[in-house]
Amino acid sequence: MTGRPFGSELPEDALSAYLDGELTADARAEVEARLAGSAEWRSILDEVRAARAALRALPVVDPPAGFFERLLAEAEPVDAGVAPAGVGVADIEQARARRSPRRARWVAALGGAAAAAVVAAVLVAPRADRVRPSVASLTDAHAVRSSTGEDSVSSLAAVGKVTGFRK
Amino acid sequence: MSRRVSRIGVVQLALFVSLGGAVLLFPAPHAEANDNAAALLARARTAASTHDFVGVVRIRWHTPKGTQVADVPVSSDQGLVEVGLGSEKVVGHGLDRWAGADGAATLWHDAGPDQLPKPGTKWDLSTTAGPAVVGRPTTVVVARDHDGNVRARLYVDQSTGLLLRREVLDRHGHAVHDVSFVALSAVDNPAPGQAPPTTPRAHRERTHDQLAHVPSGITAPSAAGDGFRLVGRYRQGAGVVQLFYSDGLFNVSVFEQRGELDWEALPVGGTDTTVSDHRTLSYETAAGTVMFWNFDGAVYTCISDAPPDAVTGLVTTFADASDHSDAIHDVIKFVLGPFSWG
Repeated sequence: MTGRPFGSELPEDALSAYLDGELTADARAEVEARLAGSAEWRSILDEVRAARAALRALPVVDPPAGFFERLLAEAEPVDAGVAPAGVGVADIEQARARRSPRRARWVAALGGAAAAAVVAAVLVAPRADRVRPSVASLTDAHAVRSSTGEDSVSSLAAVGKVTGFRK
Repeated sequence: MSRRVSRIGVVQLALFVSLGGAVLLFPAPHAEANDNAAALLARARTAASTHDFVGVVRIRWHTPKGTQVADVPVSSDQGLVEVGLGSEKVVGHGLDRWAGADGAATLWHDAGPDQLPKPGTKWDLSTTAGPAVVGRPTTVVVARDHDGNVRARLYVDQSTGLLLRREVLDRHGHAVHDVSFVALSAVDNPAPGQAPPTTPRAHRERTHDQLAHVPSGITAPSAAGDGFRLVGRYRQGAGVVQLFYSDGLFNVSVFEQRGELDWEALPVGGTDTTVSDHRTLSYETAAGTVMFWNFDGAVYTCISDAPPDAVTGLVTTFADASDHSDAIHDVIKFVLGPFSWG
């Protein structure tokens, strides 16, 4: 991420980079100026933060012991001439004769795809993260909803007054 | 003998009829007081948008650090109510609300909550002559709980119906939160024939946030705590659902989202309690009580203008109702199921 202006860039991308600390000093200053002057940017920042928190709340699942070995064993025995576990040892030439190269490629491809999916699920999905509720925006939402059924002055008076909660 | 019996019967019948008539003609004072109070509250709900005025309201709330105060300028012009200044300003007109950046950043519009419960169903309401607030005579609506403890006093302007002061008390009778006019001038009915007020132009709209049903995996009991009814469900940002409850006098929002609460990020000074075996942390703020809790992979943020102890009852309800299907887990199981490891 460079320090170019964000005029044509989606705020979500800029704000995500901002949260990740990927911006240059100039770009970061520009984002902070936008946040200070734009309630819309602040609102989008809350949404980006909430979306990331929801993603990070996904559970992390570790594969059982031997999973990768079994996966590879399914994909590799053609060239090695080794039958899958449990089948028993077979003659190399017989094994080659039974498994055509086309089928071997399919097995390898499927195995690779499965491994990639598992890697994505286990490694790419971030670890469960902590949620920091955006108390200021939640308080405003409560006030707005309350004011449509109750006295609007006393319901809305606290908007913007709830401070001290970390964003 | 038979004549004597029939005479007694006639007397008894006459007594019964006259008693019944008295009940019909002169309803119990308690019921009458409840009705009067409910009518005053109903008038107070709309008075701010039916009278023009300029004033200042003061919010006071109590925290472990002491009493906190915030003054807020308010005005109403032909139904356009403005509260606060600058980025804290909110403008209201009918069911529309504009908030942020001088009241122009975001337009909120929804149909409003469902029919609110009648306050007299839960609260024992009564009225009494009150003190003058900002020089205006008031009638006070007093709300008592089941045990007869006063939990709220609402001071209503006798001439306009404006709610001039609202006090919330804890179960020991101590005021924990109040909102009161400290200055008020030019209270009038809108002059006829004036041009309608100009409403702000918002950069962003939130006009379709109301949900007919909550998403799968969200706990949303239709009744919670002591007499709170679910009267609104709204989408609130990514992955957050707002459940709006009312008991007719107080409102509670429960914001629910998936994840684990970052307890360490919450400020010091909260009240740490255990409710139904679950940790809760609560704070008294300008908006009332803000309480957090976390169980079963869901984070709950509760904001309420009710007395603080009323909120703890909601935690129990949600804890009991949290035996729900977890949609995210279901999706993961569906995606990874074909690999069938283990």
